Amino acid sequence: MTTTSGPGAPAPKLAKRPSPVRKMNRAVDERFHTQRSLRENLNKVFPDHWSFMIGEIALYSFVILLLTGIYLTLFFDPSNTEIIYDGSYVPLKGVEMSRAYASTLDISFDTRAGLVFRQIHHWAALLFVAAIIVHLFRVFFTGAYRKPREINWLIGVGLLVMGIFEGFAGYSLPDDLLSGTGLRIASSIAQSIPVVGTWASFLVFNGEWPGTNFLPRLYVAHILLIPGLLLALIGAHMGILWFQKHTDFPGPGKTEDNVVGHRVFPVFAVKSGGFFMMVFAMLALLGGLAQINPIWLFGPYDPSKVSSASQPDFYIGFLDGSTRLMPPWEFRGLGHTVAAVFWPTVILPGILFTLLALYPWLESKFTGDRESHNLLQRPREAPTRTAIGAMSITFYVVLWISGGNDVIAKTFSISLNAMTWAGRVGIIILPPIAYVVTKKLCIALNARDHEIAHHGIETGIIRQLPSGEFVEDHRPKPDPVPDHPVVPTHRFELSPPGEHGNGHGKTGVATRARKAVTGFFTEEKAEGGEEPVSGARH
Amino acid sequence: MSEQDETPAGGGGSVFDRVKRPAGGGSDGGSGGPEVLGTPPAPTDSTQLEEHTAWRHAGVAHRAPRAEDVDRRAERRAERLIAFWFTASVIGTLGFIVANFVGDKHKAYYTPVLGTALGLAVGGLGIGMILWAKRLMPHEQAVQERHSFKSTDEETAVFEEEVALGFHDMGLGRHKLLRRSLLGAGAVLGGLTVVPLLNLTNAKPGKKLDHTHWVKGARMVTGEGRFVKLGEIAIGGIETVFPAVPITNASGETEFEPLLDLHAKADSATILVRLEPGINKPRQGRDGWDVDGLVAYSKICSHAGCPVSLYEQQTHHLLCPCHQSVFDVPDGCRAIFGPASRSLPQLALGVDDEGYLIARDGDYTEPIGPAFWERS
Repeated sequence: MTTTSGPGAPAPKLAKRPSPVRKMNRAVDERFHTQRSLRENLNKVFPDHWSFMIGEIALYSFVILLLTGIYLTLFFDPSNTEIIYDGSYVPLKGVEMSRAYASTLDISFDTRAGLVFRQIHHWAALLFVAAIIVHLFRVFFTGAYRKPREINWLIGVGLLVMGIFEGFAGYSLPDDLLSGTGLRIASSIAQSIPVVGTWASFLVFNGEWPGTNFLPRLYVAHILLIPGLLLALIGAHMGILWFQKHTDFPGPGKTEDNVVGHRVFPVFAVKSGGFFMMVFAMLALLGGLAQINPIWLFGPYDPSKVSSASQPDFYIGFLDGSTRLMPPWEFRGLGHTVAAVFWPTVILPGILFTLLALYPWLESKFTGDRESHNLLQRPREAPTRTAIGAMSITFYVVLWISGGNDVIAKTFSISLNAMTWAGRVGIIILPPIAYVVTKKLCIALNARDHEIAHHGIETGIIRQLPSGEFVEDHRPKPDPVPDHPVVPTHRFELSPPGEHGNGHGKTGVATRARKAVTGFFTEEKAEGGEEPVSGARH
Repeated sequence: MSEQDETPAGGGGSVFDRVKRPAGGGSDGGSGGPEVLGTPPAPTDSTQLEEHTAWRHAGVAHRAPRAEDVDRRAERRAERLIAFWFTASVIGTLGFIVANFVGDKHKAYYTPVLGTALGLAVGGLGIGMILWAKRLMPHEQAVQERHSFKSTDEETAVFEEEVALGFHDMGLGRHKLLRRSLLGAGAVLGGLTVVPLLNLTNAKPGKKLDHTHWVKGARMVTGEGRFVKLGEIAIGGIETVFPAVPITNASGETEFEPLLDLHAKADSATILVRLEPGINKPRQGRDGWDVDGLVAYSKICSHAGCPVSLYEQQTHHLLCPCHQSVFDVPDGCRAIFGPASRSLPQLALGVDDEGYLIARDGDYTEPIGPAFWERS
C-alpha cells in the first residue's frame, strides 16, 4: 500500500529513495498514525493582527521565566537559618542574615551570569503580568470572550490571579527588608479574615509572624505548586485556543465561518519563533542594562525596620492603594474584631476578580445574546461594554496611583493627606465619569462612521447650486484597504432583535430588574440598527 | 474579485513561486474559485482531507508584489540582510561565552556586557527570522473554514442514552444503601484533607498574639545591644528598643539578656519618644506611665504590622510608611489619619536603681499589631 504524503510534495519525489527524515516520519506514522493530524495542525490558519501578539508576549515571558528560574534554583538556598555574611559585597560583611538573603547576594555578586539572569527573571515576571493585563484588555474590548470562548476567559482570569501570586511569592523569597515587609503585611491580611484568619496565618507561616522555616514553604509554592498550576492552565488555554480557532476582526473575505491568515507552517511558525527571540532579547537587554530589585541596598529583613517609599511590584500596587485609601473601618464587638485591612485586601479583590471572571456570562445574560461569535468588534461597536471597561480601568488606575501616593506627594511636594483624600474622592467619582464619557464617545464615533458610510467624506469644497443654495461636496467612502480590518458601517446591537430579556410574560422582581439592566446595556441601539452592511462583509 | 494574490512578474525561480505554485495550480487564479494550497488531495479520501485543508481564496486580499518577489537582486539583498543578523547572533553568543568565562564578575561591566551579548544572540536570531518570514516567505492569505462545535441531535441523544444506561447498570438509583454509604465514605475521605492542612504547624495560635516578650523589669535595649539610660534621649529624640529580660545567673546575680531575634523584634519592638515637658496628655489610668517626658509605644502598626518608623518632631506625629497611618504621640498615639483605627498600645515606663529604663509593669495591656478575629 502506498502512503499518501502531505501537500507540497509533488508526486515524483515519492519515487525517490526516502531521505532519513522521511523514513523517520514513516516509522513514527506506522506506530502512531500521525500524518493526517500533523497535516491538519501544520495547516492550521492563524489570523494576522498586531493585537494578537500581546498574549504571545505573556506566553514567551513565561517560557523565559522557566528557563531563568531553573538557573536560579541551582544557586538559591531558601533557608531561614541565620548566618554571618562573608561574601564579596563589602557593606554587608559580618551582618547576620538568613541563608536565603545571603545566597541571593551570592547570586548577584559571586555567581557567573547570576545577576543578569536574576534581573532577566524579575523583568520577565513584570512583563508576564503586564502582558496578561494588556491581553485581557484586548480580549475584553473586542468581545473575544463571547461564546464559545467563555471558558478560556475564565482560565485567563485564573492565570492573572496565579501570576500575581507567583510574582509576589518570587519577590518575597530573597528575604530582604522589602520582601519581609511585604510578607508581614500578607500575614496581617491572612490574620484579618474572620473566624479562620488567625489559624490560617499560623498554618501558612508555621506559627506567629515571622513564622518558623517559612521560606522553604514559600519556595515550594514558587517553584513547584504555582508554576505547575500556571503550566497546566496555560496548556488548557492554548489547547482551547487551538481547538476553537482564533478570533479575527472583520475584513475582506472574512466571515463568522472562516479564518483568514497564515498557516502555522511555515510562515506563522517562523514569525512566532522570531517574536519569541525578540521578547527574549528585550528582556536580556533589560536584565543586563536596567537594574531591578537591588536587594543588597535594602539589607536583610528586620521586623523593626522599614525603608520609606518602599513600593511593591506594580501588579500589587492596586492592593496597596486600596489599603491606603480605606477609611479606618475596624469592627469590634461580641469579643471579636474584623480588621480594617480585610475590606480592601480580601473583599475588594474578591469582588473585582469574581465580576471579571463572570463577565462573559453577565453580558450574555443581560443582552440575551446566546450566539457564537468568531468575528471581533471594535470597542465603539459595543459602547456599554467599552464604557464598563473604561470605568473599571479608571477604578484600577486610581487605586494603583494611590499605592504610590507617598512617592507622588514627596516628588511634587503635595500633602500626603491631600493625596489620600483625592484618591478617596476620585475612586468614587472618576469611574462613573469615565463611563459616561466613554459611552458618549463611542456613540459619537458610531454616528460619524454612519455619516461617512451614507454621505461620504467631507471634501471641504462648497458649491453653489443654480437655486442659490450652498452645498458641500462629499466623496464616497473608499473601498476597504485589503488586509486591514474593515470599518463596519452598521450600528452594533448587543441584543438580537426579538430575543430581548428572554423572560416574556414573567413579571417577577428579578425579571423586571433584569429588563431594566438590559435596557442599560442596549440603550445605544435606539438610534437605529438597520443600516446596510458594508460590502466587505458577506 | 478576480485578482491573483500576487503577481510574480518575471522572477520564475523565486522562493515564492516554488512554494506557492504547485504544478497545475496556477491556472485557477483567474477563475475566481477557491484554490487549494499545495497538491490537490488524493481522490480516495478527499472528503476527509478537504475538511481540514487550508484554502486560498482568490481575491480575499491582494498586495502589490514585494521587491523581493519581482527582483532577484532585491531577493538576494534580503537574504544577505538576514544572514547578517544570523551572524550577529553568533557573535552575540560567542560574546556571551567569552564574557561569562573570561570577564571579571566583580567588575561593573560584567552584567551589562552579558545582557547585551545575550540580547544580540537571541535578538539577532529573532530579527533574522522575522525578516525571513516577511521578506522571503510568500505572503499568503490562507482561508480555513470554521465548524460549529455543537454535536448533532442524534449524537447527543445516543450519548445521553448510553450514559443513562451505564448509570442504570451501576444501579445507584436502586441500591439506596450502596449510594448512601458511598457518599458517606467519599465525604469522610474528603474530610481527611484537613489532616495534612492542620499538620502544617505545631504552633497553635492559643493566646500567642495577646503577648509579647516584655516582662516586668525588663530593661530597654537598642538593636545594637546597648541598654538605654534615663536622660540619654534628647527632647524630640526617638529610639527603638527591645526587651532585655532579667535572668539569674549561676552566681545568683541578676543579668539582662537582650532579646534581639526576629520573633522578639517582630512583636516587642517599642518606640521611645521624648516629648517636650508638659505636652503629654496621659490617657485615663495611665498616669505615671511616662518618665521625664519619655513615652513608650509599640512600634508595630495597629493596622498591618509594619514598623511605625517616621517621627515628625514639630507635630509629634508618628507615621507608618506602609499605608500612611498617622498617630498623635502626646494624645496616647491615637490614630488620626489613614487606615489605622486603633491607637498604638502603650508600655508603662520605669527606671531601675541603676538608672536604666525598664518596663515598669511588664507586658503591654492589650495585643499589639494588626487585628485578628479573636481580639476582643
